Amino acid sequence: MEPDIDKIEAYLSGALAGAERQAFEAEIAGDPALAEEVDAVRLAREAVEFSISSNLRAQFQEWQEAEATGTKTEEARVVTMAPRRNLRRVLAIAASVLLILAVGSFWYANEQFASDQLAMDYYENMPLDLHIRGNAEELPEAVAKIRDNNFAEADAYLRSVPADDPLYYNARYYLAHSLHRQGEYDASNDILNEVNEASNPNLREDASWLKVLNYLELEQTGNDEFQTLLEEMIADDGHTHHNDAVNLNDKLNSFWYNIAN
Amino acid sequence: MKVYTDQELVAAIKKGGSGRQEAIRFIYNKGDLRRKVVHFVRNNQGNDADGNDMFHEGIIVLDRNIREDKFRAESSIEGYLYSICRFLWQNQRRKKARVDLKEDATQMDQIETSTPELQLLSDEKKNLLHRALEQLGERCKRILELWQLSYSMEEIATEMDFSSAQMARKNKYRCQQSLLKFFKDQPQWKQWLS
Repeated sequence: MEPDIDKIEAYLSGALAGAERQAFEAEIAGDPALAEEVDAVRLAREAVEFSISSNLRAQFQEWQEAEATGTKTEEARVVTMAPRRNLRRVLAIAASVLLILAVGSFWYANEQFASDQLAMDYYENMPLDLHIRGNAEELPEAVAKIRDNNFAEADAYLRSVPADDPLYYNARYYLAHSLHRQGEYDASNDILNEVNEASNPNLREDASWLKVLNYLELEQTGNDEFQTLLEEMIADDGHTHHNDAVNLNDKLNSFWYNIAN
Repeated sequence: MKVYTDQELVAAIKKGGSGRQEAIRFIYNKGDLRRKVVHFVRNNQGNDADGNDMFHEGIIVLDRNIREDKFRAESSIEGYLYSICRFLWQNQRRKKARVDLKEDATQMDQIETSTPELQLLSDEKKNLLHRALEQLGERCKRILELWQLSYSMEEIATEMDFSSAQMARKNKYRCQQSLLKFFKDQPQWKQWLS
């Protein structure tokens, strides 16, 4: 029998749901010819997606070139200056130098010490795999999905782990990471409140540090909980993030941080 | 230009057609977000061109994730796109670091079984997809693109000058079969499945 391409496409695009989807999956499992057709359609869809991406890239290139042309027109304007006396010229140059220095300092501070930039820098040095434990395969898969920005599927699994599961707190911790990566810092902190109940001290310490980074992203360094967490980490030289906390605290008290924030 | 809410952007991209194009243009024109991405890339060993590239690649991923229902509507599109761009850049840096490592002969032993081989495979796959699309021809390629972008058969008929939706359906089927045949004719074609 000729395979039903429309049904295969509906299955691959996610349009086939619930019982119908399960029934079709059972059909695929029992029919190698159908399974082969599903694989071929999957590859064909990937090829078409490749083409759609290429079209978008070409479109962006076109828009970018149009923008650049516009900029050049602006830049091409010639400003004619009236002759000035020497003293005024010297003062103007001095003012320009001061302005350049001020702008440069502000730029440097903003690039290196802006609150969200600090959070990003610290977050990138935070390993993600440390709390994948146990025999369950789903947790590493969910973490891989977070890495692939497939947050919907990762979150769906992580939220489904029941509270009596031994990996419940690990799942909540990774859910907090997923929300952090999605820019949902408040929601991430709400989840991290639960992880404080975990028996694993390393998990609790990583959760606290992630909370600190959420506050940093939110630019809420004056928040009481942020201050308390940071002070605790600084006071405890056995804390996993003791050195990070000391380093962050130095930056928060620096001249550059005050300029940038 | 029309100002979109996140829900409107998602709806427009899912619906396809010119609405999708306008929605993508709206996202593309989010100057603050683009500057934020460029800023991030520049601060992480990249330059402005890298930053712009990441912004573009991020929109491509966003577009696809919305169409494939992988975007969770509870997070904002801006936050989601920004996080995609950040992690795309990190992945690229990691990949580059591994290639640099490969070029360093003293480190060769440590990596010969890992990523470079996968990288080669990925390039080969791109080449295969490119050949598949080439043999398909422009018209067929366009029909399949429109179909994957959720155009109805009536809209495809209008866009491609077919006399009816029925004719559009027949052509879509023919083009799809041609693409499937191309892949099935490749030796060990299943190795290319993701």
